[in-house]
This record gives sequence, C-alpha cells and structure tokens, in this order.
Amino acid sequence: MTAWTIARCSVLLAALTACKAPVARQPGGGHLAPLFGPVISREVIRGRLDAGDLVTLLVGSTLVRVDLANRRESRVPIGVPPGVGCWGLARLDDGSTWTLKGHSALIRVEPDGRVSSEVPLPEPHVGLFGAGQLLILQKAALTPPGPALTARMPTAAAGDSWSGMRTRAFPGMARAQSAALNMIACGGSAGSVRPCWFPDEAAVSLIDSTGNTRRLTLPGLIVMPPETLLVAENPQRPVRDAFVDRRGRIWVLSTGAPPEMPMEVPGGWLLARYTRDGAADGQVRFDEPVRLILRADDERVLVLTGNGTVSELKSW
Amino acid sequence: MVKKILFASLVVFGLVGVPRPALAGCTTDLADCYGRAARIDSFWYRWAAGLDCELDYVDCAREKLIGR
Repeated sequence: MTAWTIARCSVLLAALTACKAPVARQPGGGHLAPLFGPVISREVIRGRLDAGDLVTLLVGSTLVRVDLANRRESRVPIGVPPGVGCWGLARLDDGSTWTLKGHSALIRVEPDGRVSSEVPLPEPHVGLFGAGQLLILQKAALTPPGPALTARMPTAAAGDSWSGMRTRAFPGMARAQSAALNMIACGGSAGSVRPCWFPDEAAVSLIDSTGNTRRLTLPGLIVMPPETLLVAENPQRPVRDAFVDRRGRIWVLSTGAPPEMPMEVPGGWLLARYTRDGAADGQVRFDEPVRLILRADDERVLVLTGNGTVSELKSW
Repeated sequence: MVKKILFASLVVFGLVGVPRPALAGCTTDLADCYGRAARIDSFWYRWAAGLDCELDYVDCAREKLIGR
C-alpha cells in the first residue's frame, strides 16, 4: 500500500466519520426515560402555564401544578359549579391567573382555587392566553375570515385585534366546522416568542409579547384534509404541541403515524425540531405516545406521556 | 333560516359520509342538533337553537382538535 493510497483512505475515513456524526436523528430513536408521575390521567389538557420549573395544567376545572425541579405535583380545584367547563389559562404580569368559564365569562383564579372575580363576555369565546398585561382571547369564529385573536385588559369593555393570525374561510363547510378548524392552540416557550397554530396546518405562528407574528411552514409532517380531521375520533394533527427553546428552535409534537394497533392512550408519536427559520432539524419517533412538550434544551426534552408520566428524551 | 339550517345539516351529513358513529361523534351530534333546530317554528328560537348546536359542536371538537 502506497503512502498515496493511505492518504486517500484517511481522507475517506475522515469523511465517513463526519457523516456518522449526525446533526439530525431520523425517526426510530425516541426512547423515553420516566422521571416521575403519573401526574394526570387521560383527562383532556385544556390549558397550560409555565413559570420557571413549574408547569400548571388545566384539566376539567382543576389546576394541576407540576414541579419539575422537585418532581412532584399537586391539584387545586377551581371554585366553579359542577359541570361548568373551563378552558385556557393566562397568567398576567401582575401575577393574576385567568381562565374562561364556559364560553361567556372570564374568571380570575386565586392560588387556592377560589374565584375572586368574574367578567362577563359579550359573545362566545373559545380560547384564552396571556401576554404581559393583556388577556388574549379567541372568539368563536363563526364568520371568518378575520382577525383570530383580540387583546384586552381584564376589566376593559372590549379588545383590539392582536397578532397576525387570521381565521380562514372553508367554503362548503358548515360554519360550526369552520369555527372548529379556526380554533387556535399555543405551546410553551423558553424564548421571546410563543408558538401558536391552527389544528389542520403544518405551520406555526411565532408571536412575541407585542403581537408581532412570524409564520413558519413546517416540512415533514403528515397533514390530513380538514374533512378527514373533523370526523376522526383521534384526529391526526400535524401539530399537537410545540415548544420554542432558548435558542429559538421550534420543537413540534405531531401525531405522526400511530402504530397499527388501536391505542386508547392519547398523544402523538413524532417529535420534530426546526431551526428558528423553519428548516427541518431532525425527527424522532417515540416508543410511546406523548401529550405535551414541557421543556427542551441542548441536553434533553421533558415531555408528558400519554399515561401522564413526566419523561425525558436525550436531545440531539 | 330553515333553509340555512337544513343546508348546514346536509353539509354536515355529507362530511360524515358513511355512518360511523364511533368515529364521527361530534359531527353526528351536530347534524342531529341541526335537525332538531330546523323543526322549531319560531324564527328567533330556531336561530338560537342553531347557535347552541354550533357552540356544542365547537366544545366537542375543541377537545379533539386542540386539547392535549
């Protein structure tokens, strides 16, 4: 073997080694290590708040506080009459916590679950988030297109349109179904923007605290036609949850392709990461369904699994 | 208004397609509710009943489409 051949082999070996160091993992390596829990059962999660190591979830009309640092959870029932549903959670800069009571009232919830004030809303609403001092509300969008969200102070009589998200018209669909497809969900964030999305789109709108919005289309996710989404018992959602990490990367939980066997446990199977500009940055297929992305950074991703356990996945 | 509600019912039934109650719970409920609303004589009560149908559907679909 000549020196020239050895040199060429060395270059080839170096190139192969570089190829082996992956910048993006493909689906297949999503083993989850349980940390603690279960912290909830299969109850639908209707709202979420993040503050440091504390995640507060709204299930039914109960707040579930999950302390990630100390690995424990506690429950506080909200003081609403039995059968009254709450939806959405907002924490404002003054420390107050708000939720929607039914469709037509905002309530302020104290740490012990007591309702300290109630603000009637003039028309039906379906979503609530918080941004700084403002409550961000979504009306039932029965007459799209139009601004999807409005922002208001808790005691203000009316709000102003907020963010660049606009409801979309779905010609040929009943308006209730169109309203359902125009409902917005938002995920958590460790950065300066919050990811929000419509249920039928493989896209997120990144909204900052002033309402500035940047929409990113997310490649590599399975998208079902709206008509199919609406009649599925367990809809295959392109974006089931999303989280923006400190570096501005977007982590997306997607329903993905569930296993052949019907699963009773709720959740998505695919975790995809995107750069801050929306370029695909790897995907992982979980070995069990996941409901929420709690935290994500360079080392690990904390998730809430379908059976309610807080689990960990090594980052990539 | 009757025409509108009946038309909406047809659209909804069209989406449900082959009856699959287990798969299409919210949509089937909406279609049934529209059907009941369309039989109400008074315009305003019929309109209010139709709106209630829509909000019930939005509640049902919200859990499935954006609940976690």
